[in-house]
Amino acid sequence: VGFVLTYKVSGVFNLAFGAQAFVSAAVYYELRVNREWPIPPAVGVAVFVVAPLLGLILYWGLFRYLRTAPPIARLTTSIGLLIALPEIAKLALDFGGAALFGVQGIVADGRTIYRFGDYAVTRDQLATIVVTIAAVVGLTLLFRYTAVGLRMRAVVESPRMTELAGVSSDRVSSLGWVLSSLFAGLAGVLFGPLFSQLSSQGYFVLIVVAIAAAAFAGLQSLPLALAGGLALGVLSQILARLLPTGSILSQGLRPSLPFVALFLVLILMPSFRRMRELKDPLAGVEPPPPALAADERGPALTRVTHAFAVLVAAGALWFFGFVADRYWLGIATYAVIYSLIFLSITVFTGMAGQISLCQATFAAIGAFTTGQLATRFDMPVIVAMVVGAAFAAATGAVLALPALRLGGIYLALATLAFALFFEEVMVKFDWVSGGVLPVEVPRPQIGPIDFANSRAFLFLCTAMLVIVSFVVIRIRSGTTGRNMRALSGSEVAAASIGVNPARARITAFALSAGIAGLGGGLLGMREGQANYQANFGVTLSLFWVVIVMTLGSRTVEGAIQAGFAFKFFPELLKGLGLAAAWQFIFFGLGAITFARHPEGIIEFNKRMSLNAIQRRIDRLAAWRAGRAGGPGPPGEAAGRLAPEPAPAAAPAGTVAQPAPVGDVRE
Amino acid sequence: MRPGSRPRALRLLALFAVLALLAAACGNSGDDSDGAADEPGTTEAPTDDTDAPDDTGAPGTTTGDADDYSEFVSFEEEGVTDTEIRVGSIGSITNPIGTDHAAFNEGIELYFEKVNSEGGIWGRELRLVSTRDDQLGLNLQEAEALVSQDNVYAAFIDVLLFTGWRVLADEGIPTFGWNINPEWAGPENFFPNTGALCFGCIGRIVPWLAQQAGATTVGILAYGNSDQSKQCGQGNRLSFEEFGDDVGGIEVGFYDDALQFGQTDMSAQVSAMRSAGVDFITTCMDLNGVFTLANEMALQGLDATFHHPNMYNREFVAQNAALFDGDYVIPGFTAIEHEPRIPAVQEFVDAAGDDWVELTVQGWIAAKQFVDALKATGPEFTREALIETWNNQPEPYTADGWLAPIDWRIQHADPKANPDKAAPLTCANIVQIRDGGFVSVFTEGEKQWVCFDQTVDEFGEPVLMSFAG
Repeated sequence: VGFVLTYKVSGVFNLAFGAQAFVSAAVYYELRVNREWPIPPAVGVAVFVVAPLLGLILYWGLFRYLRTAPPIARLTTSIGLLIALPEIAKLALDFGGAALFGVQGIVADGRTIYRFGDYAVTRDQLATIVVTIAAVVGLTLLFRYTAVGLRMRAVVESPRMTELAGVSSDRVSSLGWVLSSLFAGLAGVLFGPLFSQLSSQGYFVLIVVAIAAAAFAGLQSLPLALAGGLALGVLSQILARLLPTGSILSQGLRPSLPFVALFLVLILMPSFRRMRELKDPLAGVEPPPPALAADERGPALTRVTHAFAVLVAAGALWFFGFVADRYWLGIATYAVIYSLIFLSITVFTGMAGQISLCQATFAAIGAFTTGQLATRFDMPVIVAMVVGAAFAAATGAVLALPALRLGGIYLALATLAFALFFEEVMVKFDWVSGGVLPVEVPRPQIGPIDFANSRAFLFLCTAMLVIVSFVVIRIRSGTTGRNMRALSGSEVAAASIGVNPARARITAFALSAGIAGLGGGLLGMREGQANYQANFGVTLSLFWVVIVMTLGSRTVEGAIQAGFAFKFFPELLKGLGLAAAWQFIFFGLGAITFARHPEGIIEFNKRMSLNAIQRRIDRLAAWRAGRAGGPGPPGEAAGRLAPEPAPAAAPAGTVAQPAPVGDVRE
Repeated sequence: MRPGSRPRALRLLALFAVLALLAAACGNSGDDSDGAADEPGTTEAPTDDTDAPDDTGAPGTTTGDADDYSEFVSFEEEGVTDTEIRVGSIGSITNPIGTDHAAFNEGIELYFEKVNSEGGIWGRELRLVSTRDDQLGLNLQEAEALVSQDNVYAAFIDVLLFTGWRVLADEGIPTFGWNINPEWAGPENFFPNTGALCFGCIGRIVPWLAQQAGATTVGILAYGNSDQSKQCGQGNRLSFEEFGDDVGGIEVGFYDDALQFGQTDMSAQVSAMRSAGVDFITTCMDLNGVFTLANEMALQGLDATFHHPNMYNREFVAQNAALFDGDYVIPGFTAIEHEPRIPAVQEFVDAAGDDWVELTVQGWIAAKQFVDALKATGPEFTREALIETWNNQPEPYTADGWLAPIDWRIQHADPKANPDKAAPLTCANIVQIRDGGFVSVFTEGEKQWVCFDQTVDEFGEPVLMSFAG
């Protein structure tokens, strides 16, 4: 219900809903358990003060500027918040690493049991049922029969049109966010007694299951969302009673039920196949993406940049070839491998303009296949890795088939459902993951070179990264890449100029999955095993997407920067004596810059820096010319970077339409 | 087709062909080495005919000249200076399930303080110089940091995922810690708090415990998405199938190993257990899972006794007293609640007071085993010497009664893969939950361990034993 409410009032499929719920639950825990406040003031502060305040902060500080942004930008922002908010709450409340036992509900003696014939409920459950029904009834009435409800829906459809009708869209939107955040807070506090201890992980799992119910409601109907949730619960119980325990069917179907349901709802419900995300009809045509800084800098600056790059490369070669110890070699190897994996996001998001939340799953498929083929069938591990990548690519292509008609957040949700299905069902099979001990992945030996040596292995990974980068760049500049980019702009327009959208999407899926699978194989070799929990969990997929989109999903360079940031930024934090949680906060909050700078914050800052340097060069040239008494060199000035396109049509309080995310540069 | 696309395609094809040839010509690193000895679960234990040092002593006790470990010998070894012995730890301090892994380090520090206050060992002080947090998924990375940057003699490990085991094994670093991972099995330089774990093995303790609880029908629950949990559940089921008749005809009335981690509704399972008349439950789940199950049992009025393999948690039990009253808990060491306290336990309580959790005790025991190994090795305690000495103690190690006997001559090997390497005794230290705390059960003075002879096929009779020396 909370999901649907957020979507209805904001147009944002708010994956951070669970994180918002956790924030209120954490505040409630702090007040009720640690500070021993009575229930009413603790609930009052956690649900009716902190939650609405958080909603207001999120709206005025963030989502206000995203009302007309593409759905992908909003989804990325919500994923960033999903990662950052729980860590901020834990740090702010100084929870540390200790277990937080003794979570309490909103009624005293919550475990008191009431029996009604054969049925029994606790006071906590009763409170949850009463509050949920009241919420559904109240919200349904609000949306159907009140002017405020009508205005909220109108603002979601088009804030600009609503403004023309004399309604303050800001006021209505902020009210909507207050309301949805309040319900997130309420859900967080109500969920509490379900757990033995307070944990953001628990909220994530619950929310993921709730997405299926929200999807069942088409993200629109509150009563249907409630019915969907109940139906899933009932079906789960029926399966638990009917299917013989220990059977393959039971072990496969029961844990995967919510994800299979989500996937089926998404691909089978006609409304989803037809539906395009809410988009302001007055938003107009999106401007073309700004050219990359590297494409427009002057020749002198380009020469300096290239010289600097050569120097850095030589320095890195010397350091990692002769100086670095085992630890730094290991970190650099991870960085190179993650850069390669992140290229899969460059292809799928940067080129094709779609979001996949299962890239870690494709990497896992590559790693498992590599390990199983190399250890069970004695296949040379390099060959096994290529087969693993091919298998991952095939899986991606197969996954693309039912999801062909889905786009934007619905496709992202379908990939999330697939990732969760893989995690809950496939990983437990010995022939997939290896069983109690993870499947081993040996390192290759080519002629006299044994890549068990860390230094040699780093250079092998670097060579693989160079090859894949080269392939991605070539594909990007070829027909395939252009087709994908056409797809990311407008599927209809792409089809009208002869691009086959289905083929382009399958290609994007397969290519992206293949690259992730290849990286997964290398990651397995790096670790000596394919360990799903350590390296390929669903939450990692989310974090990967966030870090790449924050730093730059359009360029190969962006993926490499993301790979290195992923491994070296925590080292920097460690050096500064900061907790590991800060990396999630920094990158999570970094994702919120995506809407404003879809080219990535590094590219944006590079543009700013190059502009500044170019201005100085120009000034210097002009000064020299003035002293010599002649005109300055015209070529340098002509090479100055153009400023970013101004938000010409953007009204006050909104930002320019961000560029589509489908443009990859070398 | 665009002009020039065919040559580019051909070049790409040629590139792939070259790569394919290269790949076909290559092999896998270590193909020709017999590295199997270091694989978890496959290690051959040292043979009995290895010469053990002459100064080794009684089971669970240290060796050398009685209580005099002050002799100083200068020698070269990583992490050892003339004044100190440096060790490092890796723990899953940041983890999603809320286990207090930082407490493990506190336990180590407590024991080191005690030893240092008594003059240290072999003329040196013990120092825990690095405490690394593997954040669950970075164990390999932190293990590499430990060996390449921290200059430590030994490692202490309490982690949820032990992906860095191979680094520590290859480096030959004496490694001590909390054994919940299958990777501890194998390497001969690993000395955790138990011998190699056996996932899915048949055991006598749980059926016997069910008998003591007066059970007739047992329910077994495990997670489906964790192989360790699933195999634990299967082992329990096999145990009841094997020994059910020996403990009064107890039958498995309900079995489910397809539960989800994080599952918040177990009404169907509890309902089925009610119908089956289950009166004893054993699980292979975390505290969250057991909590959900117990709540649902209270709701449906199912009155059954639990066996909890991992609930030696005072805070959790105190806060959920009513849910778990009467249940049995099996900590992996001598429970603090047993009376009379054996000297080794009293020593810990004197040092820690009431400020401890399960992992504080585990840290203390790991540090104690390390110090005992140093003592047994002698003043020239190179890593190699320590590993050699500790693997060839003539009597099993018990940490002066803290632990059930561990025979490092055989117990590095996975007992499921190497049945002949299984410990001859299987022992459990048991407490019961009453009024939100733990009380001692099945003890007789200092005999606080319930043990079965594993060398016989029949069920046999349990024996109360003490390993306090």
